[in-house]
Amino acid sequence: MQFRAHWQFYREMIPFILPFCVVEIILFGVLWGFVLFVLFGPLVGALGFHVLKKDQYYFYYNLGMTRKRLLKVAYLINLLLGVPIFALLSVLFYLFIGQPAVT
Amino acid sequence: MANLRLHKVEKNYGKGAILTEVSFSLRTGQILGIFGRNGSGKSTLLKILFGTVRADALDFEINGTPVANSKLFATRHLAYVPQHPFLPSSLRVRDVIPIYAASERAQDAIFYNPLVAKITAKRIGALSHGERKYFETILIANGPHPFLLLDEPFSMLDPLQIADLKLFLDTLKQEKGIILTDHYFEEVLQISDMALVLKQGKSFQITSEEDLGNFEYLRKRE
Repeated sequence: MQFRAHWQFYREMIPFILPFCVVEIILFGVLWGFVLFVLFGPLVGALGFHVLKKDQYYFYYNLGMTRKRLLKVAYLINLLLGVPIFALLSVLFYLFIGQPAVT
Repeated sequence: MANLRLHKVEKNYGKGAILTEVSFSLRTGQILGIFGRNGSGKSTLLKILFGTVRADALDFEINGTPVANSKLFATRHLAYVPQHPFLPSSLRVRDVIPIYAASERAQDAIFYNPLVAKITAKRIGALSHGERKYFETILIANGPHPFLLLDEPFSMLDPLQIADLKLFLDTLKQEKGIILTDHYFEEVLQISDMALVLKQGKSFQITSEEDLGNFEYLRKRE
């Protein structure tokens, strides 16, 4: 029940995290893109949520969730999703570009 | 039986004092109606009690135990239905209910509400304003909290939804204490056991529509 709400919060942040992630990978490559995605992705997502979906916080407040807790779990989900995606991107880099993404 | 007592609350925004001397008490089985012109601090008061807005000073107790402003949210004694839509638009009604209602009994209470039953397959974003507001109120009202704060629950509802919601709240008050604020003053006066009006940061007890005129919430009838 609580996880579904956390997952929903993360899903609401994806439209903000994803473009940030793509830009980071284009600018800095897969490795640094991944590092920045893990470090700052949820922060960018939370900022977007705060600006455009602020009223929705009450969906989570009524479940007893604070903003701090939502952000902490979003970081965890981001990391758990980020590692396999990073691994997959590395393999694709190696297969199609012919060199490892991380040297 | 749960009870809460607000002895004092102060809230300033910049140099403007929004709330200065507001006090009331409420127990389960009662509905308190709060009136006030726009900007009088009704929503701010509800958010302070819910714990998402900090007051400059607060003297508040639940079941005889003082609760500090910073601990209010964590007590989870109060649920709050805000004025503006707050459910994620992408979710379907039937998917939201299990997130809020853990037990089958609690889920059934929401699913089998006659007006909710008609919209369970719809996405929240596809509901009309009235359907959405009604569903939000029913969803939160069925939670475990002994007190419920409703900010403009009748706004955007059609007459049948309003009549249904009034009946629902009248039944619900057997197990909860309810604070509601709305500009539909006739409806609020009808279902409230007590009422107060906020004016210049202070609360005044009222008992009739005439009192609302005396406190300049309504035009006085000649």
